[in-house]
Amino acid sequence: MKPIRRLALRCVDRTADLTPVLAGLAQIAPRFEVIDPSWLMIPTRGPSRYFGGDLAVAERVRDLVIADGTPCGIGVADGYLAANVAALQSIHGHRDAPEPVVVPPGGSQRYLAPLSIGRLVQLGDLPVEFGDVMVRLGVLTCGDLVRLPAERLSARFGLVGEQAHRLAVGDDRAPLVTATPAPDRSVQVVFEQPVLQADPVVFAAKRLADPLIEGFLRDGCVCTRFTAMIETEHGERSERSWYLDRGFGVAAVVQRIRWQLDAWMNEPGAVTAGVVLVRLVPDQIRAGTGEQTRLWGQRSRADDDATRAIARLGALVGEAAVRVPVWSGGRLIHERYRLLPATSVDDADVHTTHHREAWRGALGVPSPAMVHAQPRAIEVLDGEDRPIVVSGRGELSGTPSLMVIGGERRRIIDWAGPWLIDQRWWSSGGRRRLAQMQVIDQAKGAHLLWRREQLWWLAADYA
Amino acid sequence: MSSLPAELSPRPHLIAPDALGADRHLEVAPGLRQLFPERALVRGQIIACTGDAAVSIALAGAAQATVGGSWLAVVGVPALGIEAANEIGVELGRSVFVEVDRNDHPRWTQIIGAVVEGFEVIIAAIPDRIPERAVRSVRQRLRARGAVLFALAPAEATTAELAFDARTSDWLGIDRGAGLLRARRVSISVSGRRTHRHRSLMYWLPGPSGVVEPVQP
Repeated sequence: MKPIRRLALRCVDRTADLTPVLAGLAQIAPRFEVIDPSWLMIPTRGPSRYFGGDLAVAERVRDLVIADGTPCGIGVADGYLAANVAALQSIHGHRDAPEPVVVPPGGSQRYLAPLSIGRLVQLGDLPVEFGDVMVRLGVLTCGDLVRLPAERLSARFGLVGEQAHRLAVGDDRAPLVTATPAPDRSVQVVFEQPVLQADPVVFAAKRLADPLIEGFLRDGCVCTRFTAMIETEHGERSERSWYLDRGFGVAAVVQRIRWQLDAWMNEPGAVTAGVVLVRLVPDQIRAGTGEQTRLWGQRSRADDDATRAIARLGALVGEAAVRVPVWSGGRLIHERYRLLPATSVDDADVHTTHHREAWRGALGVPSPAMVHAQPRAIEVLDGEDRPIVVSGRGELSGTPSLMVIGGERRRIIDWAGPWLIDQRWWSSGGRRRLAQMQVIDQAKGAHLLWRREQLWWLAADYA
Repeated sequence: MSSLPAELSPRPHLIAPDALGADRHLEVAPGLRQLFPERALVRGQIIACTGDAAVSIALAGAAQATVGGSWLAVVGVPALGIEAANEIGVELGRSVFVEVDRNDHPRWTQIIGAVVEGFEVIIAAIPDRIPERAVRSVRQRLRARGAVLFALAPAEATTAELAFDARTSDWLGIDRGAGLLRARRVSISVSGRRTHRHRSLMYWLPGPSGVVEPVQP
């Protein structure tokens, strides 16, 4: 399929809002795609025929935006990526009075060839790891990428490889749905009583997402990008856009809201009051491809085999017993990842972009290889068999010399900590304090201990 | 151009789809190669892991294959540290955790059978006193599918081809309240049905830079 020739209009300021010019734009182009309030895409075939060429259309759009006083860049090219790159180039040319950059028909692949893989990943919404692997392979530009055989990229990287290749040759990633301007599909819920727990907020988001996603399916399309906005009584606001190549199902939307909440609430001082508003704004809509029902986003033979085995295992041992790790970003080792039923998770690879990042409250590398879901109560004693306690300021009452695990006595030969942690306020049971300590026993086994509720717990082993 | 020039593919397994299926080996990280007689995992084999660092050495052995596109199933090890797996280099996007009652031998064998169908690398706790017949059946399936099993059990329990007994020798980084655990040296005793002798190697698991590699004398 030939790529759609498009005009990309991007504001210099990504928080700018083009809403005031939409009515004027509708006079030039009957259909356009709002990627976000500061970024529009307009298919140019019809308008260019009417106004006498791409440049004529671009200049009309420019005049409209200049009159509004919003600094923008305008680019016209075949395909999604090239149009956007052209718009960005236009921004860099003239900040106040943009000169549209027009890439001739059929010229996108050549135009994109010098573009770095990093920019391709960024502008094409591809996973960061894909870029990393490409760079390791010595594939540094779009030009390098298109010289790789498309079928091998696709065999190794599945949809991502396919998309990358399509984008780099100047094709569209997938059929564009042109929505007529202004059908605002955003939905929101306002809480009369500020909500202090994460679960009710997530639940409310699910009730918003259900009819929303249902509506898209009915219309034969999928939402591939949405923005979630959460606001507290004190006016603190978290706004994040989420992207999923195949389109969001309800479970995936709910999962993103939970991530967003968790990350936000973990940010020190970010949240000082209960949540009063949740708003979901679908930003990008595409023709339904049927892909959103697939369990995994990728498609090598190994992936297909694993997907089938997961289904079979689910039937054998129950779906809840076949789980995949999903990054959830807590401060305790127990909270970093959640294991969720494989069948409830839309994409296994989403969390991988976070996972090499350092995090607050971390105990550093290495992490314990055995983490006990139910920590076991133990005793920690000093040299005279007196229980060790931790003061409110995080000081030990003596030298830890012995740990007693179910009657078995082990000598402690070294230790680190303790470190105090204030657990997040919305966790069940409210605010809790906890101290962590690393110890090494006489057999050189290292362990992670917790002091909580006046007891010591064996939380994890460095197995 | 029909194939990648050699200089563009320092890690050719990342891009060669035919590595799946045809090849008799699955890769291990360069630092680990000297632990393996064939410098790689051999499809169809069982590797027994014991000692206090058994889980870490199993994860380290499995990591590179998952990077190369293989899927990992962790069977009956609910406490396995996911963050640790991640740090060692396991690709979590291709890792699945399966719960199973270890004391139900027929059930366990059935589940491993289903796992082998779809996963090329498996880390599993082995039931106590597992019948020889069950081990034979698991081995047959491993060979038929070309999968590798890291068994968290003594070599005798599974008649493993290769056995690692990994014991912590010392930890670096902490000192009477100060510091953090940063690195450890582990003595790994390597034995196998075909190696006929024990080798003992000192390994960083992990080293101060986070990498698993031999300790340079």
